[in-house]
Amino acid sequence: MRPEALVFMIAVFVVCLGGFLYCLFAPEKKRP
Amino acid sequence: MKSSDLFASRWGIVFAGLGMAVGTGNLWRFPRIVAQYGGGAFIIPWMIFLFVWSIPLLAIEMAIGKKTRRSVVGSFREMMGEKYTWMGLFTAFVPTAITFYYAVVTGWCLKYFFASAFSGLIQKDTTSYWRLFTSSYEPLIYHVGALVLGCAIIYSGIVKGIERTNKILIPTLFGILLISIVRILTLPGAGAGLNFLFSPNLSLLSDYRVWLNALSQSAWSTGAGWGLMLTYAIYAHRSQNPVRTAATLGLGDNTASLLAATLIVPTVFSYFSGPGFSQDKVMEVLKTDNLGLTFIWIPQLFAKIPGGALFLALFFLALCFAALTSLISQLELIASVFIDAGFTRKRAVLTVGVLCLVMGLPSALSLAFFNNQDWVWGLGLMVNGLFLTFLVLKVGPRKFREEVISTPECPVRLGRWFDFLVGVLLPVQVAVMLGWWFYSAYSGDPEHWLKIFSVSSLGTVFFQWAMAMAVFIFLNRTLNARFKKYET
Repeated sequence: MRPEALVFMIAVFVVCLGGFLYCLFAPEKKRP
Repeated sequence: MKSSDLFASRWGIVFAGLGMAVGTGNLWRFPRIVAQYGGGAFIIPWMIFLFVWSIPLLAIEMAIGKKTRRSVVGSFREMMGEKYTWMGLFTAFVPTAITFYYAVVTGWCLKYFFASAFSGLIQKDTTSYWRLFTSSYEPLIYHVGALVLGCAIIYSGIVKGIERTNKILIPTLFGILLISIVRILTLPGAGAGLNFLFSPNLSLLSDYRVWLNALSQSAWSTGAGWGLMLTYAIYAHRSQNPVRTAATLGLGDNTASLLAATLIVPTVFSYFSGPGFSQDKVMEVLKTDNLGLTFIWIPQLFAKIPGGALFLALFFLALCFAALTSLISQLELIASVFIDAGFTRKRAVLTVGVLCLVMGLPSALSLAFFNNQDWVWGLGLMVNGLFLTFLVLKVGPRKFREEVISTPECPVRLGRWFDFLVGVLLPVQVAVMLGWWFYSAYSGDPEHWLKIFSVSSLGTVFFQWAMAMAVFIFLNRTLNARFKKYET
């Protein structure tokens, strides 16, 4: 795989998959 | 609302929402469109529109459903006043009209799963197989099967039916995609597909068609503006954060699309790899329409892979799961309108089943009719987005974010940027998107663009929209009386 394609692929998956997993698992902020 | 009528957990509505969003469009439309419009270059605007169109609209829908605890029609009535009940009915009717033919699509997926798993589809001439199937009465049988399955799930209720089904099918769907990707990426030539898919050729960003297709894909794929998330939010806990849930669904839907493209595009590249490889041949396959790519080309592509029969069956199983989980959200939307109008769940589900069975018959028996409905009501979703935006503007963007999105049980701080988004960005996107699709339809056939009885003319769109709106405006008073009678 070309390096620029690899970097772009990782970036895209970090945003989408990483964001998805973060929203799914991160604890809700405690409210007063 | 009783607590037994609510989703059992935060995860319940997240998986149900993912089931709603991840549909056949992720598996058969996204890989085709991303390849046609420059791979990486397309992904950039497509991700931008996730944040300026899809996630905001999903959050708006969810906030409305949580606030009113009513169906799409009841929500418009409650939040905008009795004069606008017809607008809610139109917004509910667009996904309803889509459900009529989407049940047929789900039936096709079921048929192809059975054919690939038990009847050796992979060895058959797929073009004539598809033609024979669609010209027979068989789609009707599978249409009925899909509806029986979908109605049985929603009849079982929110927790035992919808939540449980989605909690099983959605992780399985993601698992199937991941296993298939591992197999495909070990094939010769697959790397060229990844290079093509993820090379960001930034010069293509000056092409307006890349942006417009990215917006259309994001809007259709995430289910934003359909009213489906509004319906599921009726059963959400008060503490459920609408913005975070919308972001989870949007990002999860995009991940599913990327996984599907990572599966399909390298498969096509691998098929044509070897001496005499030509990217034109690859593009020829990827430019085929949704149905041609899925039901004719995919079996041929998998035929060349060692163990292809197994992976073909898995692909169609994933497609069945994607279609079924979307279908049940659509059936629930229609059922919720009937429940709002005083029906019991049992009677509402039965009515929805019979309605969808009868109204889906023409699409099951005629591909031309199917394509016409897909064209007319697919575009209708843009109007839905506009109506939802209008609802927020009528309430007042500031009041909406401070009193509807943010609640005492779930305080969410949104800044003034939300007012700009709803007042400017969302309407501009609808106007540009509708204008462009209208212009494309006109310039594609300038002599017959107003023809009413044509598969994909502007005339057929205007005629069917106008008919639906006229009927709903006429019924406005009757609807209000009915809803008032059963208000709790």
